[in-house]
Amino acid sequence: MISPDEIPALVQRLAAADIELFECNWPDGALLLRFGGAETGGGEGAVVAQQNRDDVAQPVLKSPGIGVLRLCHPLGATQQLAEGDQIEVGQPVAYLETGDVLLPVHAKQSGVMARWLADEGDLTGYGAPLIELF
Amino acid sequence: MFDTVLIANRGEIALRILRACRVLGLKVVAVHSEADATLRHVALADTSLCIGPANARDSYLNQKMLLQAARLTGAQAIHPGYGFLSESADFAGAVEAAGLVFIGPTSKAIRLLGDKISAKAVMARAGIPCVPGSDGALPDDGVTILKMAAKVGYPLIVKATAGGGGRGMRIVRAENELLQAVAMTREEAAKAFGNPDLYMERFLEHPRHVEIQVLADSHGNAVWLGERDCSMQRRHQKLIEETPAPGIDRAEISDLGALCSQACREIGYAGAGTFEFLYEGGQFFFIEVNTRVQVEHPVTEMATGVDILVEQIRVMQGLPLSFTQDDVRPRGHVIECRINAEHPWSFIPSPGRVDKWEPPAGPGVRVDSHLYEGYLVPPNYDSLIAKLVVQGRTRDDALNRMRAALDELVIEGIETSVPLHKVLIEEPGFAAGGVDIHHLERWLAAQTDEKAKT
Repeated sequence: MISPDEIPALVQRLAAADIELFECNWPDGALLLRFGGAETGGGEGAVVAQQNRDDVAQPVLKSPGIGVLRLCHPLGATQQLAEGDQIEVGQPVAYLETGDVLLPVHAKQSGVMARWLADEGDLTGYGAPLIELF
Repeated sequence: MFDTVLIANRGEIALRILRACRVLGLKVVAVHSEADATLRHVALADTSLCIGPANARDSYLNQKMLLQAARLTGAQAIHPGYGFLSESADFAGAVEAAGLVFIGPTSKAIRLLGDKISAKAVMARAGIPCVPGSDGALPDDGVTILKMAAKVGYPLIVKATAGGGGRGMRIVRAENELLQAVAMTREEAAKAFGNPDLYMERFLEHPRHVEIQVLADSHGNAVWLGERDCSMQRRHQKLIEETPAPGIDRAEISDLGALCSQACREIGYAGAGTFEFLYEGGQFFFIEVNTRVQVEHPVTEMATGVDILVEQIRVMQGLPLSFTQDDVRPRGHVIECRINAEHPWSFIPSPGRVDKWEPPAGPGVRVDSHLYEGYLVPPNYDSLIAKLVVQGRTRDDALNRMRAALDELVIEGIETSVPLHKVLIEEPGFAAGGVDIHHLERWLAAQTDEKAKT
């Protein structure tokens, strides 16, 4: 099945080709694209719906950006998360440091912390797995 | 002097840049999208970092992310390759402002040469032959436009200053069509590019595409490395390139090359560059300067023995060129076929897994490619997967070598343009040499008609 990251490129290509409706079925899911507005090229007029049939939520929190990984705030404002901790959506779980800039990583989903998948000081890329949830 | 280069590109050119860095003993940082983690240069780099999703806008075109990646990895220089941000004056400026080295000309030079009107004015001053044209943006007044057009001569083409790649232009064959064409193109340009400025120039009916490769350093040295004939094009995409350009007088080319290197010295251009010309009726007409290393640079490298990437990087380290014009002695004939992951006849992209990859080899054969068996060609980017370059003593020798190399080449699992190239090198027009830039499209259209009849 197509990954969500591939959808924008697909939308752009189909919009440029003047297509109104696109439906595709995979064994594990389906993608439906409906091109409504007069917009072309940018894909703003597209309605996107994608569902996972197995409906298993990703049990991993991934890095939304790049930086040197800090498992807790360097000034000690937060405590490093540990196994069993409850994580809520939007909660800062780690920090990405570039030079003197520190950006918090907010949890995209809630759950109970299973373990760290990365280490303090790691050079962390986009999409790198950080935390496994139960 | 920098010792670590961040490669802000992907595919075969990223691997080519990495190889040049290795020759110079430089460390390499590979940044890549989520779709490109398995690229060859990523595996070979000293440091690699995923910087975004497959969508180029959020990865290879994300200027802030690239600069942040350089800061994180300690890279002091950024090589943009071709495409993506390679000719973005804004990005070059941002790299300079961050105290890093942009491996290419200065943002000022990119801006000057990236604007078609200012570039043409610079070239005309340097004595480089240009297409007769309006020498600046068209005025609003119709009478003046008609007067200017009479001087330029018909047929002429009205183009948007901000346009390119075949967009925002209109051919005018007679005076009575002119003003309406100007009005329509102006409206389109304002809509499509946010800039209604137009210019016009003589329209050449059957030109060839001939370009001059230059290299210049920041010590006042500039050389030209011969020409490339890139007339075999489809929809402005080059498919086959060669040097020397068949049937063009060597003295004419030498004069033109000398003018190009002189122009580099005059405008203080440093780095690699290509002056593109149309050639018709025994005359050259300047089109534009590409302020980057080009896809087809290996053609010139094979003919001259100069490593253009190595020289380009050295120049950006502040070093002088390692050779002079007198050392440039192109040998034999070189032909390059661009192999794309696309259907050979419909040109529909064919991403997917490469099940088998057997590149040709032997004397006078070079393959620039990032492919390996099991590699997954992603659907998100340009379809170029390999460049097959051969050198022969004569053009016939080179064609024979290309024929053998294409026969030897095995790519399975995806569709490629190899079958098309096999037919094209036998096609009488190309085999004779000296075709114009419309030849390939005419030939393709004739094949389609032929099929429709049978």
